[in-house]
Amino acid sequence: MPLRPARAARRGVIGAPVARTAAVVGTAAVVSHGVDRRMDRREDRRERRF
Amino acid sequence: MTTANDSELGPIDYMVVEFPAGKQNFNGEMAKELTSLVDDNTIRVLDLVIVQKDDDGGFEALELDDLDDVGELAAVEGTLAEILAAEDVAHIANAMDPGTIAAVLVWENTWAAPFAVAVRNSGGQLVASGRIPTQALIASFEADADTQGA
Repeated sequence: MPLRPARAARRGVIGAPVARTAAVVGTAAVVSHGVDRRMDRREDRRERRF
Repeated sequence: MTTANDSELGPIDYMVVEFPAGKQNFNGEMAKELTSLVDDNTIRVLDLVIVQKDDDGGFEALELDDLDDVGELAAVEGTLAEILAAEDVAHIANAMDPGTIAAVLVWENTWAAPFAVAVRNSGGQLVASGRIPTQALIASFEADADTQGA
């Protein structure tokens, strides 16, 4: 079965061309590096206050 | 009185997921996760189209209700709004590898709508939004680690 006829008369919404994206699977470990970095900076600021 | 039609519309996203021949394992796991997001009111599914691309580059598109057994996906049929135009589907088919099947999903991020209202009520207005690619995130942290290690 083809697409419903109403779709043929409609204006496109996603634009062209559709670019393929590289499939990269990230884990939570990716952002944990950033969390650690932020905690380190907080510690540094705290130490400078004393 | 506020009705469902008066409620704020959340941002709308789409994705194309391609399944190469021989790697397809439609065991219901995807449908279960998707309906779970709908049940939690995290998203609302607005369109779902299946595209089959031949080895010679031709393609056929199927509506959800063209499929024989949609399992749990039957629960989302009532919210489908046929967002995609035929030309959208053709562009998507162009991006697909020959011999593959793709699921094209369009959804509203319903979770974001109340937050958007709160932002506006607080005087804020959207300037930009987007998605940060995982590759960019990994590259950024790796570059950071290199700098610190140097």
